[in-house]
Amino acid sequence: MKRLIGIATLSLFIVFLLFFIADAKEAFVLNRPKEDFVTTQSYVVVSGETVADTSVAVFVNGEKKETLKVGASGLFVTQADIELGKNVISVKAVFPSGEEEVVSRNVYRLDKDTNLKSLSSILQALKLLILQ
Amino acid sequence: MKNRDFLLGLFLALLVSTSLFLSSITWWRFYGEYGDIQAESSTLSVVDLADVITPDRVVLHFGQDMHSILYPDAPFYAESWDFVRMLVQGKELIEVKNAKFDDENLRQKVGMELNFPVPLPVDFLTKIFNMNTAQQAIPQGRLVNSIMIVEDDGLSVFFMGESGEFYSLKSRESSFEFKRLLDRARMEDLPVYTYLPPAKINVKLEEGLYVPVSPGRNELPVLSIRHEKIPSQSTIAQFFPDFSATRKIEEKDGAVVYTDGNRGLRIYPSGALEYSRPLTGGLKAGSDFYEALKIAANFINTHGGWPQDVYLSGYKVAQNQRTTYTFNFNIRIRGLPLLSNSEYLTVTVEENQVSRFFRNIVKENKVLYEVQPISPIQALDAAIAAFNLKEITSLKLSYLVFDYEMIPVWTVETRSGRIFINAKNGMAVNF
Repeated sequence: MKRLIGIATLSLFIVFLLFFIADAKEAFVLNRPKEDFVTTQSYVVVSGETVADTSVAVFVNGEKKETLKVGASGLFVTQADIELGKNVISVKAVFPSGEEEVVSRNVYRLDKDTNLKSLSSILQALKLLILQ
Repeated sequence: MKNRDFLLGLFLALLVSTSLFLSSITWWRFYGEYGDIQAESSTLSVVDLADVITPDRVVLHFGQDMHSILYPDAPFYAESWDFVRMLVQGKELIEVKNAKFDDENLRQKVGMELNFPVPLPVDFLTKIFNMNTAQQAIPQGRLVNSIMIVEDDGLSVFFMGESGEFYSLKSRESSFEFKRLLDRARMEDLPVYTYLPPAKINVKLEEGLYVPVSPGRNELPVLSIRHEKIPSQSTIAQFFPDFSATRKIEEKDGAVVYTDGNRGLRIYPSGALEYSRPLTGGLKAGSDFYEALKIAANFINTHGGWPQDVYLSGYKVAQNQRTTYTFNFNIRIRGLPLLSNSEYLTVTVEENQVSRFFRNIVKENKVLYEVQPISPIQALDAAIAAFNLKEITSLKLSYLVFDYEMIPVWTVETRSGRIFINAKNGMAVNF
């Protein structure tokens, strides 16, 4: 009986631990840009939400562009200049606890004359081909 | 002698020209004042109900996560509203069942979104837009919050219901005119916004937010207030079938009451009007929402004129022995709703008649100074820091009557009430 109670308590503890770990992962959401976002603009909007007082740094192709401190709402919005072609946008969040999390997204900037719809579909097709 | 006549003639000419000059100044001033009154509350031949329910804002979706917000004073707002009215006119609206509306995804496509200040009955909207609902009856009482138009190889039009349900035009429309409208709007270099979906980590924000990424809304003025002028005798006479049978009573507080024994009209010293007409029984056929609003709007128009920038901001429908509609109208200042503790314009309609009417219109007077509104995120940060909020229903830029001034504020709505954040400095307004 005691052994059973012990196992149950341990299981509960593990479940709670997993829950908190999962919850910590949820403490940073990068809303924009979406993965494989295609644009003709010279910049992308970087936005998301996290816990208050987190420091958020934005990198474009490894180069640090901006650091901002998140306010009480946990929301942040900024924009970063991008180059023609593929850009890797990385956003590093340093939480008040000192823990860090980095999320990266691929973004493609095209010429203004390029037909976005057709390129988007080509990109999707290429992705499918690679996955297969 | 000749010299004397000449001098007298010159003196006379001087007196005449001075007199002409002074009288022209007087007339010019009088005309200016009179002209203002005429422009602010002119009696229209007929009130178009579509002008009474104008959206709080039109959001243009350009694709690539670029949006623009048109408030009612913005260029392209009226054009966009007219375009939507023309687009849906004569078309058939159907309820879309067993489908989930992915508005987050649709906002990323090219399109347009129009948000009404108050949810409106579907059957009322179909009447306003002269739509065809012959094929499929939509249950009465369903309310619509907004209209969403999406361009995707043609235009899809959706009426977004209050409880997540939605309705769409049966046919897909041509997007030629819509694209032209968007192209022209794009050329205007309107402020660009990004969309933040509903938040859930640090605070629960039920509605998504549009945040400016280019310099946002231009400076907004802080304004002084003035009230509508005390109504003229001819306006007062409009309230009574036989004005010669009315009595005039002057009260101690300065209010003046007119009554014919049945109807009563109280005119407050500020110029506010309160009219009541008890119903005499004998139930007549009740009116529906559309008819009742039409009666209310026409009554306002014929009793003091239709005030500029007034819109339907709320209503109550009470059903006892008869259906009673109480319509609340609000005022927009520079395209933003003007909030205060007092009511501006309320009409109660029962049995196809107005049983109560209250009119206390305030207007902007002078620009005192201008402020650059803080961003919506700064406003949220300030509200959450000051009040430790955990859940927020909505966030809107508005005007607030405070200390005899109209000040731009961010209105933060929660389930327990409203909080006002001064758009100038992010300080909570003690209201």
